[in-house]
Amino acid sequence: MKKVLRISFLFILVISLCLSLCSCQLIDDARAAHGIYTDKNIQLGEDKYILLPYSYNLRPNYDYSSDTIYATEPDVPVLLSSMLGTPLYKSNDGVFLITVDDELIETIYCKEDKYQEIIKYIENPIYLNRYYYEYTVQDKKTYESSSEYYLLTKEETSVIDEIIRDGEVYEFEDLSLKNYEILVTLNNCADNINFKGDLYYDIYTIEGYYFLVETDNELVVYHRVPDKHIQTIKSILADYYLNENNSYIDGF
Amino acid sequence: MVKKLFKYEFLAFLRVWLPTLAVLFGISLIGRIIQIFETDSTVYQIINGFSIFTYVVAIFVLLGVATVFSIVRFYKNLFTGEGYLSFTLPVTPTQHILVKAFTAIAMHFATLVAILISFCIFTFGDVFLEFSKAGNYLFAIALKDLKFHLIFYILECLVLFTAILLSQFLFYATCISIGQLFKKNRVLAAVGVYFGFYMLSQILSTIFTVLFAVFGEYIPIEKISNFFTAHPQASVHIIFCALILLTLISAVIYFFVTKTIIKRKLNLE
Repeated sequence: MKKVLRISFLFILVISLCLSLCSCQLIDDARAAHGIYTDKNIQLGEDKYILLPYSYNLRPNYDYSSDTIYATEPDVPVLLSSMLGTPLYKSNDGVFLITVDDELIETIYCKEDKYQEIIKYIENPIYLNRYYYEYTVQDKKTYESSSEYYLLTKEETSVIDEIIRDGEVYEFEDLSLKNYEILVTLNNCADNINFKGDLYYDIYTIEGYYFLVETDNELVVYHRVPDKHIQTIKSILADYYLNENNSYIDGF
Repeated sequence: MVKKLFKYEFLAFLRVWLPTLAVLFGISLIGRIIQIFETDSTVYQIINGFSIFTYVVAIFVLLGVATVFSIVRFYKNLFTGEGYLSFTLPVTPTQHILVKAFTAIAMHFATLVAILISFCIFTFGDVFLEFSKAGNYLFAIALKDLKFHLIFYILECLVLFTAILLSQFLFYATCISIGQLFKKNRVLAAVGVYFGFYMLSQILSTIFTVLFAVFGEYIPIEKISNFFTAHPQASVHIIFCALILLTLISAVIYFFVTKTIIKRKLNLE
């Protein structure tokens, strides 16, 4: 009888130890998305995120479908983090954590190993000397969409500037009477795409010709792309055309 | 004699309740062991989902056993052939009713404790630890905000829960007692009485709502609302006490109806 009791007790002990060592995927996921405020910074697992000073031109790439983590004070348990914590969006492969308040003001934290590099851009004058555009990529299997960015090369950027500066200017009284299509919007940015300005040009096709469209308040100026630069414009739009065609093939 | 009555009531209850409890604990343990093999595969998702479903069903079965058995025990022990023996005992009808009522209440509390233990088994390890931390944190926040009011809220909740259990049991006892006044199909008659009571309560609620809509302007609702806004903690206490009082009043009414029928109109099978 004693032997039976001893064996039963050992069995229960072993089972208890095995069970206590096993975690749960839900808890592990919650822990991975639980950041802790330390001073003004955030500790997320083994990574430390440092608060960046405000910079108008620092605009990381994220949207409301980006991965979200929740930052809380140290004493808040992980199961309550999504309820009591501040939601932060992860962007740029986890380099930035961004939170947006009720007045749409962003607070940005940067991963510790990238902090010095980003601070250099914030503290030194930034020359927004490149252009980029955003396009949508759709996964063929899951049909989930995500945003991608194409950063123009310096040569492509100089072509755009030349067209704006020297290109032939057209006027259209009523564009709706023409065969036209709006392709992409070029925005100005720094070499680091997270630093962006407010300048933008739209690329149109109107009656088979390419135009760069500049809008300043209500004034719209159409710069026609000269023949010598059409190939450059087409190579700029290559990624856009590739993904636009795919979404037409795979969509309904 | 009442002590012996309690003893045999609990024994009768445990004979049914304990095996069901063992099944619940077994299902909890199996569910927890299944979680050791957690993967992203569809097979695991199906098996785990099934184990959670089975666990939830087992909880409801245990709750059902506690409720149904208390009613069946009351009926069989007092209104069937067993009643001939029960009423020969040196125990008053009041004692019979109260012993059964308090046994039912105690077993319901034991069921809740058992469900909590089964939850601990089902989530044993990291999950249980995190649940505990979350519970402690929320309790600490509530204690910090509400201070001593929290302790009283908990006590009032327990008293209200006990009063509801008592009132519900005595309500079922009343339905059974009225049902046994019929010569045939007494159980069916008891069910009919239950639905009759339900319909009556709906009619009374409708009448009350209409009266409130017609004469509501004479009720100082704004003053009451302002009081609730100005004294939120006190308002909750008042509401709890009012609910406890109403529940106990209904329990007392059911008790006297049941007792009167058993004392004066007993008609055993």
